[in-house]
Amino acid sequence: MRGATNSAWALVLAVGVGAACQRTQPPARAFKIGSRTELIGGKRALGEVGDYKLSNGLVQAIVQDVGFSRGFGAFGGSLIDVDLVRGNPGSPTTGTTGNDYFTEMFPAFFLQAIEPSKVAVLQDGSEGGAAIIRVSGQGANFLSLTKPITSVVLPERPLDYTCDYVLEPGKQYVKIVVTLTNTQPQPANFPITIPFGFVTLLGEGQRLFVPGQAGFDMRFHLEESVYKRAAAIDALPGEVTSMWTTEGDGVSYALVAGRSLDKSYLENKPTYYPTAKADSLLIPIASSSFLGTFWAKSPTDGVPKGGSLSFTGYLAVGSGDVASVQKIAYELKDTFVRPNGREFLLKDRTPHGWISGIVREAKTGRALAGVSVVLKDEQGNFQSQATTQPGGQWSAPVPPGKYRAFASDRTRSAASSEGTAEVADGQSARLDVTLEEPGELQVVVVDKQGRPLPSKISVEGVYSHTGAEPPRRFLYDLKAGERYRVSDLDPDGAEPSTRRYLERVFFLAQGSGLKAIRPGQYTVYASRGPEYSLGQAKVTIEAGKTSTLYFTLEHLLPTPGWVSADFHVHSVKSVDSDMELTDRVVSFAVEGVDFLTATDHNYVTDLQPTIDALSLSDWLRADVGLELTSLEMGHFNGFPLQVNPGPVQHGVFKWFLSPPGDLFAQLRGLGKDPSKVVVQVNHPRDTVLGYFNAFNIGTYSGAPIPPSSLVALDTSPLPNGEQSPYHPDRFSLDFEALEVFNGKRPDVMFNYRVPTSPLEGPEPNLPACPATGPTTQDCLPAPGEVIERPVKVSKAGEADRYQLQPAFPGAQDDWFTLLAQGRKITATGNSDSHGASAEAGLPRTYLEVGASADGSMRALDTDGLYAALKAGKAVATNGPLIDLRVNGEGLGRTVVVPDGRIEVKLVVRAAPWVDVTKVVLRRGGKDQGKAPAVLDTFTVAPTQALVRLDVTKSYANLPDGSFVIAEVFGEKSLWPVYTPYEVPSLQISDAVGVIGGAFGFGNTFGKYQPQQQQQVKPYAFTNPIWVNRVARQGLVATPRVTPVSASEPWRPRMIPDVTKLFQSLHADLE
Amino acid sequence: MRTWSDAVRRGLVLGAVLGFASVAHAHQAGFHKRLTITASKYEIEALVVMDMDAGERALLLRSAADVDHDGRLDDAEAAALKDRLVRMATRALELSLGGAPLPNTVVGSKLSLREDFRAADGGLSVAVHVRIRHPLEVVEGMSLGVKDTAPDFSAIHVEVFQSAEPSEPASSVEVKSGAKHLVRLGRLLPVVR
Repeated sequence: MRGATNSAWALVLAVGVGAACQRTQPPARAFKIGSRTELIGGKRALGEVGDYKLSNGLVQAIVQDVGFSRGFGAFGGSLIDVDLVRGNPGSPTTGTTGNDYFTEMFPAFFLQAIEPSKVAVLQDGSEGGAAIIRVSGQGANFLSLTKPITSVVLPERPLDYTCDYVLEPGKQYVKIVVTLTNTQPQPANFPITIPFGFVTLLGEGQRLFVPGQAGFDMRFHLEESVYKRAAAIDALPGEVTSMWTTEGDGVSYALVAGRSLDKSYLENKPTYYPTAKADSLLIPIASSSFLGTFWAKSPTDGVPKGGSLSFTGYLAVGSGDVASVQKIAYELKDTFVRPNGREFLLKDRTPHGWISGIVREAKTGRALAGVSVVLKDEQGNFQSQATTQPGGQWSAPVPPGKYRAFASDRTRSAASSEGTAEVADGQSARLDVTLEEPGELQVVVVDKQGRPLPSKISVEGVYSHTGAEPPRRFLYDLKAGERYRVSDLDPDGAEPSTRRYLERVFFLAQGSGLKAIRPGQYTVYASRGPEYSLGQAKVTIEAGKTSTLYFTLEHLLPTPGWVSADFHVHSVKSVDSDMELTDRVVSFAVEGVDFLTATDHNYVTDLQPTIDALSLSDWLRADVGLELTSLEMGHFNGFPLQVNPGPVQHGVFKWFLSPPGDLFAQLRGLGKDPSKVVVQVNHPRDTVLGYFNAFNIGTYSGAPIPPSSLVALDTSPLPNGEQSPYHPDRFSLDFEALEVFNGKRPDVMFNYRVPTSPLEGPEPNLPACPATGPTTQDCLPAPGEVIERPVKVSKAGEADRYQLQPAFPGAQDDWFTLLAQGRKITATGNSDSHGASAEAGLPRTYLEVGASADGSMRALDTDGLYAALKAGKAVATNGPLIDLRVNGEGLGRTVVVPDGRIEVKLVVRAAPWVDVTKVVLRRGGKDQGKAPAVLDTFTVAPTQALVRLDVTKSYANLPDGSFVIAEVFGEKSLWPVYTPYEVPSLQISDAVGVIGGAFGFGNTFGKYQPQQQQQVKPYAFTNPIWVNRVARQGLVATPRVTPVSASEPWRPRMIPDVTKLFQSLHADLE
Repeated sequence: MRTWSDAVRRGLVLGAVLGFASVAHAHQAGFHKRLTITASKYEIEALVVMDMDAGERALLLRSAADVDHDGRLDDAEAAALKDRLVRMATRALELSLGGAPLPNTVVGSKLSLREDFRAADGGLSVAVHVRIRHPLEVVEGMSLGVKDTAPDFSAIHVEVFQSAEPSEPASSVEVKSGAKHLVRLGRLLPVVR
């Protein structure tokens, strides 16, 4: 009996266990985050307590609550963190250690986004179905620059939008359903058909792969192919593809489109999109971490009152390579039930097969992990990418066809599979690849005393190809994912010195190191910035062998009392940089920079702990700073600041729609001692990133002037009646420093002049300017002259008055105007480095600090450093060093000379590898006209001597209120220590220009515009020495400081409409 | 022969079975109440949303509404259920301005049976739209008082938005049932419809 009873109980138990085990799939959940243990974490994680989370045991995602965006966008309500569920333990204080590598994504209705008034959990998933988070709000411009376009193409009255983020149990993707509803009493009409889709900010570290002709190289594919195709006002230029995907470190993403109930934006336009299918995407712009993806469209007949339309996208999450996320996208199948009960196939499974193989090393036969394998079909389309696992295996899904595999990594030449493989739907095939064995290079660098020296090693090769083609066409294949190798940018000729490239650059933090290098013959350089000599040696790297080189570098140009500093530095804490903190710190130590401020985009970073951990504290010192990055107003650095460890961005405050004066005051409010904070305006003339461009500052007036382009920032009042932050009255000069010299960009430093040598490109349809210059019409001046435009400054009812403004203004000329007005703003030179290709400390600012500058940087007087910066005791340089004195006084000082006579002592020094050809002495002041006059020009003969110029000379009749500065020019490239700006990134302005071009906005001056691509040539300039005839007491204005709360409450511009919220709720009975 | 240890053993096994079963089928049951309130110069609008989880309470309410006991809720029965839920959702809601109570004027209501019209234990949702014209002149610095109680005394999520110049922070808090939440009002603007 007992046995039978026990058996019965066991059966009951088994049934109970079985019932529990049937539901092995975790449910999907949606909830408001209440603890840091519920966050996701990762390099790009932006989630905070109070945001909303989706999770189903496979994938987790965070939608930001209402407020201003913590990413690069403007509004909250975006998808900000997405990752696989990894099960890492969490902490209530530090959060979790996930691997989110996703910055931000939000729906876009052409150039508008949703300004959310509410984010809420629509379905929490507790009943076993999907979990849904809903964002609701109205349309708003996230770039006010686009208002002239959106005001024409979008309905006059704002529409209501909802965006549902849907996560279903067992799915490894987030489904995003965007619905547009017309709650206005009249129909909503769209004058032209515009596309709907998403804007995504991926962030550095996620490499974009677009199946098709682009592969990993959307940058040049767009510029050289896509933007040259036919386009129309309702057929924007863009790449047509089935999806975009990414490859990253441990996580990857893909976006695919659901079919549109009506035709998509791409369908029925065979002239413009001949390869488009029902679920194709259009990518008009992909660069600078900014990706626009469109497929749905506005309805041709408008949206009737009470009507709505929806479109659907799917964001899949993989484990790091493109293949892992493509398999999810290919298997995705989803339907939608229409109101009439019939099913509509939103997304169908994509026919595909599988190709797999192993990558091995030649000779050794060793299986290689971490190698990237790209698959290319017979039509030249790149279809997938996979990363080899331990054991060398890889596999990737591909559409039916015949393929060849290409394998590449950092230390070997790329190789392809011996043959091809053909697959049909549901089938598989195999391709193996063999890579060569690398060699090794070991380097030791010491100073003259034999002490190890932090230094940079540049491994230079020479390619055999001659001709006009750029190296990306023959030296490496960006589309197949091969790594970019910088070249010297000399026209390729017979001389090997014109065909140089850098195979590898690496850093020796402690003076010695070992690196794997592709076999070949090289010249190896050891350097430590412009104060040191340059070591050089030839080496042959053989497969499987180690070659060793020894260098001794001499400190040729000591700078007693001076430190070299870089006040604009990015690391992995910025969304557009992938440089880890250790690499970032070492990159400065090896360039001989003494001091730096960490200035990540909207993120407060402290690099000093990393310096200390690497035992580099004697060489280098860092302070805390921030680059306050607005979308359109400009970028502003503040330092020294304090780190607020609680919030995810460590103290950044809301900048959206705040006028510049308020931003400067709040930056100071973040300071350790607000009275000591330096506010620096960065790259003020760099397209839409430049503060002076945002306010259309007149170069010769230093004040806002009316814009000469229709595409300008919106100065109309805000919806709540407040003055626009872009209104000219809001322009503020309440800052201490102006970044005149930014990185490798002389094109935004100097007013653009017509080149003396002919250029290639379209000729502008413009007359030659009269001898006196343009008057009321655009014209083209003579070579060497600045291109200027007449801007109408008279008001309505007045006689016409024009003011001349350079068509492509430069920051240095702006600075000269401000100096002439008596404003003592310090000019700085900074690298704005985001990675290794933008060398640290190129350029840098030398500051006269005093005795604490000599010896260990542990003893550096930082108060003295900031005081020197504010006082203008500074030289900006990428190589030459300048010592300028007037009547014995140094930079930033004022000399009083009643008779207007001064004695100038000018000494210029440079390392032998830095070319100096000309030194110019200038005098400016209230009478300077458009630019400071040239007092003297000194031609410097070619020499290897350290002192290039040493002259003492007198000048008379200087008017009261003058200032004197010196400039140094060189003609030869600083290769290989400093590499050219070879690949400019596409900017947001390029995106607007592409779209604006379809609307008839073009460039008036054709081929006559600044060229970003250029070599780095020596240049340096000093801050001024002031010359007065009368002694006077300078006025010192106290800068404004606004304390910033750690948790600033969100002040909505538009409050929710309760009536509309009520109407939007589903009802079975009303 | 049954022993105490046998009974304990059976109890443990039964408990384990029920425990597995409860793990398999358990989820948080109860009411979830949310208030979204907007304050403008001349009126206050509130959206009261009350969700009820599937379970015993929902079963009781649906069954009580099934007057003809046919196991389904027809239109009239659903309407009666809606009226009952609207009363349940608004009965304890007290809005006040400067300490003076405001009348709750219901201008609309909706019931969602989650497309399940059976007299069973499926979840329910009710939404009530309330609009109040201010009886007093609203002066900057006055307080808007919000007090409510959920049927199961759970916390209520209260959001208050103000149409004000200069703009005022939005308030979003979890308020205990029966507790009064005060929001300072700024210089309110009229809402344009």
